[in-house]
Amino acid sequence: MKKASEPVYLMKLIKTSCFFGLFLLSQAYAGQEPITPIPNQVDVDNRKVQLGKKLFFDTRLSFDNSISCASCHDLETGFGADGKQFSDGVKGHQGTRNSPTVFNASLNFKQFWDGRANDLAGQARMPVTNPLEMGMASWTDVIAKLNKDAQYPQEFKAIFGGPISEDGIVAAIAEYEKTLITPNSPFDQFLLGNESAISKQQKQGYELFKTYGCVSCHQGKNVGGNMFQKIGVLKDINLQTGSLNEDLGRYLVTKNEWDKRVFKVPSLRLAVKTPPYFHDGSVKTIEKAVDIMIEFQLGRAVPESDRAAIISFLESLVGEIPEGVY
Amino acid sequence: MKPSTLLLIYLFLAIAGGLGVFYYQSTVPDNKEISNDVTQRLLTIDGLNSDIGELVLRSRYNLDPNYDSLTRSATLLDQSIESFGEAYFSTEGVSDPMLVKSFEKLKSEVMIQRDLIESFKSHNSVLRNSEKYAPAAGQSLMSIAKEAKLDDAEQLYGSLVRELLAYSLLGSSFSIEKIKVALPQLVELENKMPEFSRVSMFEFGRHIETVINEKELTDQYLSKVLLSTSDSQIDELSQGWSQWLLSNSGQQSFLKQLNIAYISFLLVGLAFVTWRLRNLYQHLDHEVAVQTEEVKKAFDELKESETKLVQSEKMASLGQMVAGVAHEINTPLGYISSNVDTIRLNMGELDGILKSIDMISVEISESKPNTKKIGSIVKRMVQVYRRMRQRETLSEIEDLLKDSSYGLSEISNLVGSLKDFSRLDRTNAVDTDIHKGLEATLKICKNLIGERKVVKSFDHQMPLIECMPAQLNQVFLNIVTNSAQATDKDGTIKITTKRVGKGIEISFEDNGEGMSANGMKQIFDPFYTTKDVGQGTGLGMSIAYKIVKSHGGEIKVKSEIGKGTQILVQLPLQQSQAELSVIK
Repeated sequence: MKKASEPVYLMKLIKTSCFFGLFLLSQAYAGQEPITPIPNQVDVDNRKVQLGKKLFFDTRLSFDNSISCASCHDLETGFGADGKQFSDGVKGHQGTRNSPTVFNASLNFKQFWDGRANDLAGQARMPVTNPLEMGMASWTDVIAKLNKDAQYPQEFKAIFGGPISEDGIVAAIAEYEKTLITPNSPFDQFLLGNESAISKQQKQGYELFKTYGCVSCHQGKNVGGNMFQKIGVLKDINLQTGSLNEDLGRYLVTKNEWDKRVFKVPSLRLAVKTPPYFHDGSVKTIEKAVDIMIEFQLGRAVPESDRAAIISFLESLVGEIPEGVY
Repeated sequence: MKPSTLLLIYLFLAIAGGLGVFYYQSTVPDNKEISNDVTQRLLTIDGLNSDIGELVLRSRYNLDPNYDSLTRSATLLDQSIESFGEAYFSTEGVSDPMLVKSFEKLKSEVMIQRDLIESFKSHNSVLRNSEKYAPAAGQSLMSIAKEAKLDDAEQLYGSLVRELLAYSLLGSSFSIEKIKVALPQLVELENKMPEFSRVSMFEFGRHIETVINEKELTDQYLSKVLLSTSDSQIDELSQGWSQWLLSNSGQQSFLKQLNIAYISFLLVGLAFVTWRLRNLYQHLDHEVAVQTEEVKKAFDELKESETKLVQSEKMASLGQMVAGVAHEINTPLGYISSNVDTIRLNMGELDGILKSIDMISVEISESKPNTKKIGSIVKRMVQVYRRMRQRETLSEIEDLLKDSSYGLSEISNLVGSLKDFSRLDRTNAVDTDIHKGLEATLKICKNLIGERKVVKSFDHQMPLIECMPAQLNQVFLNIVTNSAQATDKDGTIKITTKRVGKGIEISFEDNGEGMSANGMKQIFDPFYTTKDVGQGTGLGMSIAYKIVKSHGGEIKVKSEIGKGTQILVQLPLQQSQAELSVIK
């Protein structure tokens, strides 16, 4: 009995001593930037990626063969989103929340605006059978459709060692989505030491981004996407003239009182490229979005010059779309 | 109960026991592997749990500029718990209720902690922002108040900034009381301060309130995260596992005992089978001995009956021979007997003459011979004689005696042949003229041969051969008898002898009914006969075959139905020593 638990105690001791070591170390790194670069490479299974790519563009995943993942997450022209307030589903239906970009989604800690999916595979599972989106009656139907394909059954057999399955489909799509990142942005280059990678205004914008407090939530690799936040923490969102107060957000998932109007903090990596803004896509311009954020989240007003600098900083966050992903 | 039923029950028990032990073994988990894996998992969970405590603190005190590390550790902890549950507490996993309960406790604790962390992150962000901004806003208001020469306002802003900093850095309750007292005074300042600073004032007030509210909340969440009972849940689970593994080792030793018991059971079965086999072999040996004895007895009996049969065949041959011989002797005996009777009758008349001669000699020797009487006697004598001469009685007697003498010589001849045939006086292989044997045989069979024509084509240069003549004669007798019986009354039997190389060849041919191919095949088999029951023993040709073989010779048969049969006997001139011993 002692034998089994001894290593646990030992580990704790090590952890505790490490804590003090790290504490001292962190002091030295106190000047560290809150935003970090996106890695250039991801470790993926190439066969799954190729299969996932095919599935991502396959309209057979929808009820009437009209919609694929790529319909709403347009990689070529839409930076992974469709630019619409609500995306079009089958039979003329429309979604209820704005489609976020699929780029860098793998860097988000949870998926969907309300974080109801823990990972990419969990996310990919849902739109297919959502009647407002791809509208399939069941995954059994999806599998039956894909089984008629000349290649899918063999590819699944080769990769997963079995027939086509729901888990296999979403795993392949998730694997493909891991390759959809936008590294090497000017700002990342700047972070890595290239002082001239961004303009003076952008540097100024970054400082403002930090001093205004945007960075309190929009931080990390993905400049957001790693926490939840209530919309309207410093000013009641009901005072907003738009519709941002209507959606109760994460509360609909957890039914916790404190989760009312709580949403996942979105990544700002491609913010300037993927209007409209917010969970309901009700804000058309980045300027308006920045204004609303500073007003309701930071409890301040922002002069136009500061806002312009911040937006120019946001532009420096746009990275490169890797070759061959679409 | 039948042994086969017992065996079935035993086999059933053996198989069922084997399956049972196997099933039990499959339910007892591999302790070492599980122990390692679980220890590893618990270490990971515990490590992540410690990491989270540390990372939460780092975030709270701005040592971490972002939440990436905290978020990553929290996600990993979630995944570790999830995979731990899938590996050991899914439907087919551990069913120990205590263990399941303590895992569920840990899981729910971690889930609560996860929610606390998310709340902490949200509130900490807001607090961080306001903590930074409020003092800055206060200072700018201070300078505005200074320019507007509002000392009270300046002092108020100054003290609020100080107390706010003291509160946010030290968390002093004294400061918070002071702030709470000062806040209503801010509202009073609204009208005194310049118009352009209204917004700043409003923001300042809101951020101070935010700091007060959010600090309390954030610190609550922080302490809840730090005071999480995950540690003790992990300890509890770890101890539970150790106990479970201990009870498992009980199961393991039980399994060991079960295995030993099962092996013993099988060994008992094996021993029983061995014992039974040994008994069976012993019984079998005994059986074989008994059977062998019986077979030997039967063989001996068969041999004895064969000897008896051979003997009876000999007796039959002898009987046949005696019958033939008796007939041969009977004929001369008959006429000799009748001759003697006739002679005796004739002898009566001679007797009268002789008596008359005696009476004459008595008269003559008298002192006074009665011539008259003598004369009448002589007269009577002459009359008898004349009568006898008239009836040729004397020549008849002569002829009869001659005839009888011939008959007796015939009988004597026959007896000689009999002697030649049986040669009872000879028991060794001797040089023999087989023609003598053939002649004797034919003589003995004369009665049987009857009217049949016997053609003898003998090689006159025939040498003597070394053999047991009596045995060979029996062979000839059997063959000639068969030939005679197979042919019609006017048939022909041809006997040819000739010398061939180092031996001789004797051929018996007849123009009788012949025999089938099947008959030829079986002719030398014992008890094969075509004769009616009681007429033959079926051993004649079989004995002939044996005798010829024992002489180192060959006996062959050629036959065609309706045409006749040829029996060819080949014999060597000399017998080898080995064969001689066989003959004897």
